Amino acid sequence: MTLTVNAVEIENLTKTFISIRRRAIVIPVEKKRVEALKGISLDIPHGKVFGLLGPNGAGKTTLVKCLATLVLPTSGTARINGYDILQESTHARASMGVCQGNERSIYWKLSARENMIFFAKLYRMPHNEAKERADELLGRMELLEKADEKAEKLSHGMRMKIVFARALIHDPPVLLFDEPTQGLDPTFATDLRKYIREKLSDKTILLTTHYMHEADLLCDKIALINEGEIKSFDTPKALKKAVRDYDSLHIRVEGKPDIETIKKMDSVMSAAISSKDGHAEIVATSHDGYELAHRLLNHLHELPGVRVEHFEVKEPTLDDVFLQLTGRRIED
Amino acid sequence: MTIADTISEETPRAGSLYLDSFKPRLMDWTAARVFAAKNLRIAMRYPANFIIWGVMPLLWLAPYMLMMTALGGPGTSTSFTEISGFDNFVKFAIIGWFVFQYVEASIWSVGNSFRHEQFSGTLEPLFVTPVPRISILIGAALSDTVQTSISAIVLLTTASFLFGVSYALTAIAPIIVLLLMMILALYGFGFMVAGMILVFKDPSVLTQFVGTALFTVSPVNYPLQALPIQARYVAYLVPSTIAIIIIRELAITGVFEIGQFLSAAAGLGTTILFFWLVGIASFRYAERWTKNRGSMGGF
Ligand SMILES: Nc1ncnc2c1ncn2[C@@H]1O[C@H](COP(=O)(O)OP(=O)(O)OP(=O)(O)O)[C@@H](O)[C@H]1O
Ligand SMILES: [Mg+2]
Repeated sequence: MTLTVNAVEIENLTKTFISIRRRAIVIPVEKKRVEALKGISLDIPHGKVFGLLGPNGAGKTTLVKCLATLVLPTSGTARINGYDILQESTHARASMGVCQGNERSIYWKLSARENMIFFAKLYRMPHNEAKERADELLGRMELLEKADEKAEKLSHGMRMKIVFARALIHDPPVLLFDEPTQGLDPTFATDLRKYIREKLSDKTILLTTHYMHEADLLCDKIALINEGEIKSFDTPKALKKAVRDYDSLHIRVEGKPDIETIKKMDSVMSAAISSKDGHAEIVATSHDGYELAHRLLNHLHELPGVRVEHFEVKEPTLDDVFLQLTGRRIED
Repeated sequence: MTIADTISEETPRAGSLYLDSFKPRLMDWTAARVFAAKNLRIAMRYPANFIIWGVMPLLWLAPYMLMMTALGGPGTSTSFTEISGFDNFVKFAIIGWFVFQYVEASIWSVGNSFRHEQFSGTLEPLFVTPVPRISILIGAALSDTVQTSISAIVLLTTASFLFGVSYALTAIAPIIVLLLMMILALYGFGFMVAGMILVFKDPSVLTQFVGTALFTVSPVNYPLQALPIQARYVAYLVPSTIAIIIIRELAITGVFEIGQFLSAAAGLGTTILFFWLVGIASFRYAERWTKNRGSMGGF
């Protein structure tokens, strides 16, 4: 079903935290204002994965918490699945699942299954249905064998999977993931990303992350956020294209191919070769590095006395984009 | 008609069986029950709780009993009988302790439960669900009342056995009604404490003060008449005072007087209304305050 409004609509959302430091509980000594969000507007169409990428303190968590109705915005509002988070907060909450990537957010004294069933029932699922749904999700997370173990006896990664599965318990159309793979070991993280890509393709997802490659891999569109403002917002590809309109292709070979032939190949913007001890390093640039790699490797393969040892396509990264926009790197 | 036309006539929202039938409620009893059951399940996984339920109240009570008996002789003293109108002070005090178990627990139960959620990091996930807050508050209160009932009944039976006293069961029905009304009224106070927990996280100095003051002015070990006159007024402001006095009379004499019962019930009914209004209003205020500061997840 195609839907006509956006699943998430954020309208000029601002949040200013005011913290007052007091002496002896009552006497204010210092008032601090932090503008965590400075007017965010965003629309996410149904079924899209939307990434929020930014460094520490950019305001990602604050935005997610505002949407999750855990933090009241200073001004502006948002709609989740068409429901206003301030006026129709109960409906908005029923429409979304939230995963804050915190292993402490489940009951450690309850088993994986008990945790899932408990939350399912808060979403008004009858017992049998809750149990089935819990087992289905634990199964998908490959946790069924551990379903009756208390959460305190599970590994960090397993607990994170329960937290993640819990967000899906009522099969909500909108999902908010705040750094879902934070601190997970690489296999778990890869599993989770694969799951998001393959099994949640009909959901609308807002995902925050520090990891550029995660954003790149999962998101249809990415907003780069810094100091409470969205600096740029587009597909990962377009964002990177805006920084540098070409990829560079690095190939190391045994032998010495003729560079002039390579320069004359279609779509090659520039090409250079340096050789030493019977090995050569070719660097070629093109608008589409992968397409060129395909043809160039075929070409090299047919040359007598030439053997490819290594190749790599270097695209501009989202970090390059971020650096250009803010003068700061994401992963400092 | 094109495909686009059919699409624009569709509902603009994503639906599911759950979402389509979803209606916000003022109170969700299932959620309250599920929450209470969860609390009890967790409580049973801390074995130390059994010691607390079974033994602690008796340990608190015993020194008072021993002191009373040492001073007044076994069971009675003329001065006591003169002021209170009862002849056996051990019997008098044990039932007072029984009721006070509920007083103390009902006040802190909801707050303690929220404190526990804060520590375990589950407060935010709870607040993200569409469950009405009042259901969570009531669920927390209910689970605690169940636990208190276990410890209070253990206390009553073992203390009665150890000190050789027994109570009249003829007026058990009005006793239960008054006890429930008192508990309900104190829940309202408990909601306010839960709000304080959201805001202050650990208001232990304050709660300790309130708890101790409450114990001081409650006629648990002594008859109300023993209090200085000014303190007696304070005692009457506490909704549990009237309940302690009437329940004690009913349990000792076994004589049910309809007039006395009705006036006590009316008094408790008023305090229920008052405490619930104040309790829910302050909890809501605290929730907004916390959401403004963004400190819901803190502890
Ligand atoms: N409850 C709060 N009270 C005061 N200031 C806050 C509060 N929560 C967040 N902030 C401030 O708001 C800004 C944004 O914080 P936020 O947690 O949203 O960043 P983030 O992008 O999620 O960072 P990270 O990548 O480290 O998770 C920071 O300067 C932070 O110190
Ligand atoms: Mg964050």
